[in-house]
Amino acid sequence: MNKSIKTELDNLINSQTPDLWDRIEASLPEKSGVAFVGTERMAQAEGYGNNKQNHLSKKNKNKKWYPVYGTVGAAACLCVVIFALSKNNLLLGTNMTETAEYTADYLESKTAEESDSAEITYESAEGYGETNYEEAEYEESDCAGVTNNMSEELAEEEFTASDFSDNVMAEESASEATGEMESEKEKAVQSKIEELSKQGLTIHENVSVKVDCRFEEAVEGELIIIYEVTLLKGTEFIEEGTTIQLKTDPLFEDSLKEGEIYQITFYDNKPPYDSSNHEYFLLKY
Amino acid sequence: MTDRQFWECMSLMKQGDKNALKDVYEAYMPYLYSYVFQMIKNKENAEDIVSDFFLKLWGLADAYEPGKGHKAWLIQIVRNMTIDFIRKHKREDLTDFATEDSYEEERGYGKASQALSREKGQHTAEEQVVSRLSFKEALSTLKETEQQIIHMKVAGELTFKEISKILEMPIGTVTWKYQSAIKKLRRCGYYE
Repeated sequence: MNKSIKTELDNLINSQTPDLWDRIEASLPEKSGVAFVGTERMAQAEGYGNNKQNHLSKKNKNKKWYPVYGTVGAAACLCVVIFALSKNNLLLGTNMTETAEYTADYLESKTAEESDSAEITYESAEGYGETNYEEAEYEESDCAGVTNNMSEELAEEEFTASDFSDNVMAEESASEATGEMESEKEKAVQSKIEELSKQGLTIHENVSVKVDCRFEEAVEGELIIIYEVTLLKGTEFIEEGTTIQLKTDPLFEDSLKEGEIYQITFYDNKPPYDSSNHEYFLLKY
Repeated sequence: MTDRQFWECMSLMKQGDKNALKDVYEAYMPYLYSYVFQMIKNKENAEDIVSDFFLKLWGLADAYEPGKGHKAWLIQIVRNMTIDFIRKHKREDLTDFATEDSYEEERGYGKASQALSREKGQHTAEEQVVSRLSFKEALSTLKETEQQIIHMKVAGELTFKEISKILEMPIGTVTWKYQSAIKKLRRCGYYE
């Protein structure tokens, strides 16, 4: 009974297929396309008078120049933009010179005013020499500057410190949360191992494996991740160098990387004496 | 349907021609439906996904650019849609549907696996049983991935390269799985 897989598969596929066309057609959104232009209208368009035809052909002839017009137009626009920009730059340059001149004038006048006021203060107050007074004021202002700088630095330090403490707290809480999750996971694994050993199933602990490839498989409507691994060290029941497929337990999802070597713990879903197909599930790594 | 014919259909669909979509539907509906059904194991959901797929294709026609391997493109889209569906309904118990008798009867899985397990250890008896299996039953003895590969290779006529790209699997693994599936089917009396 030699039957062709191709024929049998085609027959099977065709026999299973439902007719969904009506359902699909009913839900199709309309498109505003040319296809609904009926053949009659197309014929009408083709049967236009000679004048119309000439007009259309002239139009078509003109159409071939459209890209050229477009390019020329774009180039012209570009030229205008470049010209405008360069002009603007020149203007800006002039403005900047004027501004610089104005700033220099302003600074000069300001310095003159300051020296005047210094003289007045000196005369009315302590009778210090002009130079001394100026020096003193200069020092004071300098000190003030230093104080201001210091207070700013202090503020910054405080801010940084508070920021740092916030970060540390956040990190601590995050690490606590991670730690809790890890310990919960550990507990779950331990309880799973105990449960499995009660069932008499084999648990292969701390086996060194290399992950050859990783793929997803839809089993009973669920997506599961499967790792194809090669055992770098043999266990009691599996020889070194054997390639097995490890299915992931819901506890452990997508974590192993292809080509990497891991120390893993996995279990066999059948007891060793069972000769039927054995499946392996990842427990921890 | 050749790449050129498919592109012509897509161009017509772009202009709103429903008949072009019907041509694509008639050419690929059985193949796409059975592929989705194989993955999702549920008639109603498979029908929903395939209907949505053709609606999506209708929309995709506007941006379609001709290229080689339209079959792989179609299967890639429908596969992604199915995976999205499974992810979306991950927490819902899809297996409730899957374990319904309709599925078991459809695939003949129970029958085949029971027959096989009953005859385990008795090689000649097993050979007799497997040689009597219908193609549906024989197919159900394969693993999920093997079924998908057989489907894409034999029914879809995709290359191993295209299959490996779709399944995101090394090409070597794909060929190895294909050979192993063919070997199993051969034991049931079916040849390439």
